[in-house]
Amino acid sequence: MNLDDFRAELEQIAGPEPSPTATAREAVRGRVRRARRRTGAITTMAAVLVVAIVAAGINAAQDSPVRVGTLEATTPATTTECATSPPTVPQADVPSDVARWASDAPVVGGGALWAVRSILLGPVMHDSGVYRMKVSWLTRPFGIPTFSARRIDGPGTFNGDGNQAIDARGEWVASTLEFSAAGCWAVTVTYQDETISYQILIHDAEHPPPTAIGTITGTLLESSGTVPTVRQAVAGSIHVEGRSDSWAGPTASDGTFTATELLPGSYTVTGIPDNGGGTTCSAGDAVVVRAGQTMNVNVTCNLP
Amino acid sequence: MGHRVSDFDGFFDDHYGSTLRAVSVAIGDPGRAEDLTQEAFARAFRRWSTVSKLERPVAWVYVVALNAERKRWRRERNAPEPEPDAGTVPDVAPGVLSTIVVRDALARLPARQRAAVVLRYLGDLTVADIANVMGCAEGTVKATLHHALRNLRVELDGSEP
Repeated sequence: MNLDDFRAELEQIAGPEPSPTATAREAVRGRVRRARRRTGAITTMAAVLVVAIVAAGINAAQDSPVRVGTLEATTPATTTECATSPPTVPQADVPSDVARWASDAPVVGGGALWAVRSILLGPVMHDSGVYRMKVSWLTRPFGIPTFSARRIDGPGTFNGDGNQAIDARGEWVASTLEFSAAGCWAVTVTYQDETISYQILIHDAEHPPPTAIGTITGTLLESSGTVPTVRQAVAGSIHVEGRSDSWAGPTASDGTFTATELLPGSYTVTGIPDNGGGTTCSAGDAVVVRAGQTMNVNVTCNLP
Repeated sequence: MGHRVSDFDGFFDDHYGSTLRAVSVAIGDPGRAEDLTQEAFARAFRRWSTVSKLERPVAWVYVVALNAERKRWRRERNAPEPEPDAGTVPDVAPGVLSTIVVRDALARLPARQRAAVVLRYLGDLTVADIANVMGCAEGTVKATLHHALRNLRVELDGSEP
C-alpha cells in the first residue's frame, strides 16, 4: 500500500468529519461558564463572548446536519429533559470479546447484548422526512434484537431493524433506527434476557432542542428624585448574579439589556450607568428565572 | 471585541470537526476524544487573545487535547521497541477488506505510533507540531512515523515522513 492509499484508508476509517454542531458549541460554552465560575473572573468581555458563541451556535444549528444530542448531563440547557442513558460498563468488567469488538471504546449493555456508547449518540441523517441513524450491536450468541421506541415529548412513529454484519471484528448486528420526528425519544433494544434502554434528543433547525434555561430582559433607568419622578433610560452595564449562574454585559444605547442562557434560579440584577460615576443600581427584589421563560425587570438608579 | 468573537467562531467551525476526528482515531476512544476536544476548545476560547496570535492555533488545541496522553506515550517510548508484528497486516488481495485491514493494523500499533501517523496523515499536523503534541524532538517523531509506517507496510515515496 502506498502513502496515498493509506491516507485514503485512514479517511475511510475516521469517517466523515463531524460538523461543529450546536450541541458541541453548547458543551464548549458550558465548560467556559463553569471555568468562569471556578475562577470567579466574570468580566463583561467574557460574557459577551460567551453570548456570541451561543448565538453562533444557534446560527450553526440552522445550517448543520441533524445530530443527536449528547446523553450526558454536561449541558443542562439542552439535555436535562432528555438525558437518560444506561451506565457505561467499567472497563474491567467488559468481556474480552466485547472489548475487542468495541476497540476498547466505552460500552453499555451486558450479557447477551452490547453497544458502543458513543455510537448510540449518532449521527442522525434527515432524509425524506425521516430521521435515520445506524447503530451497531454485539449479540452473544449472534441473533437479531428487537427494537422499539416512543417519542416522549410529542407524537411520532418508529421503525427499527437489524441485519447480520461480518468483518474482522466478527459477527455483529448493523441496525437502522428510523424516527418520524425530531424530539426526545426513549429507545429500547432487547435481546434474549438483556435490554438496553436510553433516551436520545434528535433535533434540527425546525425542531430546536428544548431548553432548560431562561432569560432576563429589561432597561437600565435613572430616576430623577424630583417630584414628579422622571425616569430616563441610560446606557451602562448590567450584572446578573445567581447561585448557579451569572451574566454580565453592556446595555444597548437605549438602556435595554438581555441576559440569556440563564439556568433556572434566583438572581440579583444590578446595573452601573456609564454616566453615573460608579453608582450601582439595583432591580430591588430577586428575580426568579424559570426554564423557557423571559423575565422583564427594570434596574433603577435613584439619583438624589 | 466583535472581531475576536468572529475569529473564534470561524476557528471553531474550521477545526472542531477535524480535530475531534483525528483525536478520536489517535486515542481510539470516541467518547473520551469528544471530552478532550471540547475542553481544549474551551481553553482556547478562554485564552483566545493569546492563542489566536499563534502561527497555528489548532496545533495548540491538539497539544491541550492530548496532554494527558503524553505521559503514556513517554512511558511507551522508554519501553523497548516491540518487534514488528509479522501479522499486523494480513496478505489480502488489493482492495479487499482494505479498510478493515488497515483499521485492524492501526489498532495493533503501539499507541505512540498510532497517534503519530493519525496526527500526521489525518490531522495534517507538521512533524514540528506533532513533536509539540507528543513532547519530544522532531527526530523522534520522524523515527516514530517511520516505524509506524513500516509496521503498517505503507510504502514510502522517499519524501515521507
